[in-house]
Amino acid sequence: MKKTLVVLLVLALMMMGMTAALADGPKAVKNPYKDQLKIGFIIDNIGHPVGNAWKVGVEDEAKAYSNITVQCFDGKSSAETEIQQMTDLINQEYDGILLQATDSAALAASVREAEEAGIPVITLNLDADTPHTALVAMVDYEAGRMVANAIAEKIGGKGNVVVIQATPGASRGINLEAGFEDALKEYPEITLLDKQSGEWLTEKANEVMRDFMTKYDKIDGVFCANDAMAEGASQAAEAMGRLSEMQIWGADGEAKALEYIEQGKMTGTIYTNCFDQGRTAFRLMLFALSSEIQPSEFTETPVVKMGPVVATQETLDQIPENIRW
Amino acid sequence: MSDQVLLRAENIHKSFSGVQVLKGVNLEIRSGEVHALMGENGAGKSTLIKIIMGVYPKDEGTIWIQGKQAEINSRSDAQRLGLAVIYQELSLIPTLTVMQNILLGQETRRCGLLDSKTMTRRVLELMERFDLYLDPGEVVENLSIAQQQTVEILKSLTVDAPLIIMDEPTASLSASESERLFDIINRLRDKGVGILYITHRLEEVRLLADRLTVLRDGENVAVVEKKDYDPQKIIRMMIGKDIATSADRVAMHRPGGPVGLSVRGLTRRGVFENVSFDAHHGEILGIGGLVGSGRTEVLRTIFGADRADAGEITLDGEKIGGTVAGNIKKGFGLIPEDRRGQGFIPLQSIRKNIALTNYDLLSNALGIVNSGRESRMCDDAISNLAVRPNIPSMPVINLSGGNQQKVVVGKWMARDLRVLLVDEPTAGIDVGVKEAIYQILEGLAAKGVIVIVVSSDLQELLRVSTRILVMRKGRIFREFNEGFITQEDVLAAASGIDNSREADHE
Amino acid sequence: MRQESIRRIISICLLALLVAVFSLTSSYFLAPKNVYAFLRDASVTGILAVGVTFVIITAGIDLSTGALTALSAMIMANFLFYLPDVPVPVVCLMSILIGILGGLLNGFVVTRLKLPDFIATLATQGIFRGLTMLFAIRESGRIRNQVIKNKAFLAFSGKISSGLFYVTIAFIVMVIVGQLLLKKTRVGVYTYATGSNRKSADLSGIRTDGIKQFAFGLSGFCCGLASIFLLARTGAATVELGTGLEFDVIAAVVVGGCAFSGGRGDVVGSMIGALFMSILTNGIYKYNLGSEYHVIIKGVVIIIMVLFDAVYQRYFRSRLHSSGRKALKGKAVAQ
Repeated sequence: MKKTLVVLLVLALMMMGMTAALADGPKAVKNPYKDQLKIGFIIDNIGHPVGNAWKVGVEDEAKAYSNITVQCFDGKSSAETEIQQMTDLINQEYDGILLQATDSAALAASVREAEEAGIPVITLNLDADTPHTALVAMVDYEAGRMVANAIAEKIGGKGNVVVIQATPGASRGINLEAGFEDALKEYPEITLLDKQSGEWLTEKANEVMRDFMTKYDKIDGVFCANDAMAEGASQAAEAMGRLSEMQIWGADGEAKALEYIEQGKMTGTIYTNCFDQGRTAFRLMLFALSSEIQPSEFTETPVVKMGPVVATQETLDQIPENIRW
Repeated sequence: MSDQVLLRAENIHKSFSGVQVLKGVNLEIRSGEVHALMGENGAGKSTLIKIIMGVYPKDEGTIWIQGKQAEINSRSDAQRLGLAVIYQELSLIPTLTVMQNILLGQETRRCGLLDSKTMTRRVLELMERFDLYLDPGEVVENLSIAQQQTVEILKSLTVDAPLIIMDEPTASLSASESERLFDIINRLRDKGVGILYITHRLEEVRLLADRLTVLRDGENVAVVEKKDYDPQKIIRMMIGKDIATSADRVAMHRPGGPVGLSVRGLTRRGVFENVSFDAHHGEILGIGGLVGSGRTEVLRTIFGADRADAGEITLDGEKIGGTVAGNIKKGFGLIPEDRRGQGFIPLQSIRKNIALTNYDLLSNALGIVNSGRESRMCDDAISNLAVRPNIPSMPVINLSGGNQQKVVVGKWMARDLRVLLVDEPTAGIDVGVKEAIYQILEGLAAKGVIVIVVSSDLQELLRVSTRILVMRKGRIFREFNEGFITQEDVLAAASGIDNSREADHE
Repeated sequence: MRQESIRRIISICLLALLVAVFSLTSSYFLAPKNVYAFLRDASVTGILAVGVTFVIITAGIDLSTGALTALSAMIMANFLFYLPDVPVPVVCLMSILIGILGGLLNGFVVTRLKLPDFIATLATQGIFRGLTMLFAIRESGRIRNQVIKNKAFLAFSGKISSGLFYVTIAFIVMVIVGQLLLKKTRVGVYTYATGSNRKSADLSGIRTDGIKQFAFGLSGFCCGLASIFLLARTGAATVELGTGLEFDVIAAVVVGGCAFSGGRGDVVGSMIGALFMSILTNGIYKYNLGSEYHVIIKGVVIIIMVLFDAVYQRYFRSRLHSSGRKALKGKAVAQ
């Protein structure tokens, strides 16, 4: 089972790009087993479990290489900070950059700058709006679809649902929501009653959910753009004694959400093994450093999507303790 | 002194909510004259100044500035006419330089930028003209109080034919700084500046004033020329009784009860020195003296709010330490002069205010407040003191001054009080309520509490005290403990006139 | 020598010390590329700090700078995306205009509606941020931030041949203009007067409300100006742009010697403060430290700097007090 969780490589490496790169003169190819290498890892917000799990995964993998140092930076959820850090890493001639961008548009210029300086950039979860070495992502649009389908199935294709959204403008939230809503279109008898931002926060989502429940007498399904908010929604529903009437779904699959599912307080979430995602990004970085591909020739960024698990009470045993984050 | 009249105010009337404060006051100040304005508290000095400065409108009367009738409706009108007040609290901009302060609002500019060269020259010329030298580039907050006063004076001298009003200017100055100020005042007079000098201190008047206007109860009593100056006569003018009748004489008593509070050699450097006295159980000891004589500071030091540099205080033979919390535990209470600022918490209810100093009694070992006991204590205090309205939840800010003071007293009364220190017990309180406060104090004294009262109101001091100490320049100058005395005796002592023989004969 | 000049020299020495420490531990720290980089990092904060300096000297506070900068940037992004034919200078003027209007709104709420600065600008911060969301570029109803492709506009993020970035030049110009305004004009003196002792300033015939209005207006202008460079740098306007920037700005101003109580500090001080903070950030990146420590170190440094100021201020005052008294007496005797 664990095997199936491990990378589901949808490596959409453009072969065209590959060959073009090979043809295009020499690039400083490095030996990841011998050369002294510095890799910078810019995390959107070090306080979040996702970023933390990646960090653990990356550092875990890097332990095997005494010649490689990984330095982590906290982007403080600020595009300006991440841009400053990118500039600093480029100026310091780091060998590679792992980046969890705060915003795909705002980081595009910095990513391009790094790639032009011969520093491969691998983004995590959120793409940068410029072709670069690779993106290692959780599924988002698809995850949204999965949740919609799961809810529809449980409620028999008929009923009322609400969405607790991410902070306005956050791409992951936008994609999750888009997938969810697109899938819902296939169920004409399901009504999307309302959507409000819970700003990624448990407390805020709790408030929003309470508001929903006073406004609507019947809610069959709730989709929250992350687990933290789903936890908040669940607390609110429990407090008002309406937990049993509705399905509550989150996304990400953090340890606490899995516990909630075990206790029956949440219906499900889309679990991704974030340790693995970190390791994958690191291994891909070594590959990029040692290969002769030139991302500047790419017309599109290759994407590696992590295999998701739809975590419900039935499937929880597929996610053992040691891969919960 | 020239004969040019700078300011003439004639027949000034002013009343506040029906109460006549000024009843046809006249005042005339000539250029090159130091004109003293004297009068007891409430005689109308500050109202008159505020009318001249355009802070209050006058009800009746005329003001002429340099022979021209003037309408002064605002501070800026007054400023334009060359009138300036130097208050006890200075009104400079602390972080600007001497030059910037002197020329504030009158800057010289060239092409939109400040022309600091010309401005510095203007200030230096001004300093030269009046013989007052300061570094124009120094930041004001780095100057001493006296130097800051000099800056204020210079600021008021930037106009032609200036008239400077000084309101108790020496109150916050040391003796040497005061002398330096007198020197400045004399020089300004020689340069033709008119100065209106408001003070309680007779010796300053004797030193400085060319003429003296005495106010009493909103009326002119007299204008005295320097050659006719006689301190005893002036005191009588201020108090308003030529011969003290028996009704105005109050008996002083040697204390009968045992000594309770004993103060020995109490000193706070630069404020008061070597203050020693005993206060007995059951007496109300009054402390008189001019503002700045150190009375309030002595009270605060006994209470532990200020630190003493030397001296010893004992209560019933037990030595008293220097912390407020410790002294409250030992049975001390202080009713401060600045009631609003220090006496109570304005937005809290009567109940919370009374309970405030008593939470040690109201809470159990875990610090949890017994709210039943809290409201009982409050109800007791409200009924004992007849606080009106008697609504425990009412914020104290909404009470009248007298009732506010009752609450302040109440918070000490609920305790096992042994010494109550009161600073200006009825400042700003309606006449009707004053008597009630006095009776509360007397009631406390009768129960054996030592009450010490500081007051500038002579009538009050005589009314409430059984014995009076008069302080002067940080020392105890006289003690009245027997015979009959009048306000005049106290004021004379406060002004440094020792007429002890006279008093002894009474 | 005057107190202010001594303090200035000490703070420059501290800055030099910081540079010395970092350059000793990292050979790369003083590389021209890195120097220009930290100058650039200081610049946006620094431009905003010029305006906020005026506000804080009037004993006020401006918490809306980050949000107002984001709003100006978002409006520009709208122009660049939907109306690509509008010339870039016009777009920039729009940004500055939005900034000034926003600043004047702050001033209006503070001086006319008589709200405390802290509450007023906290509220307008929300308004500006909300407007930024409202104007965010959308695709089928969802916010989709767009990368700006206008080369002429993106040129603002460029540099002159020596490597100095345009934004740093703008910063330097603003510091010079701001300092002149503060020290050499009537408005500047009145700004100090308003913050130091508002009552006496009023009594000296100064329209202190007008001065506060001016300070907020200037702060808004700085937001407009800074947003041009910030947007060119990020290449896209996001809803979260400039979040928390106001605190970096306030930290720089306070480290630079302005006091919340008003009447103290100047623009050059705030410039040093902005440099100090950016050098510190840049320097710590060179150590292999966890990013938790970055924040802690910054916090500790802010406390040390402000504490230093307070202690120094107290010491200097007590010393000058006695010596000043002596000097006066000496002169009086000489007369």
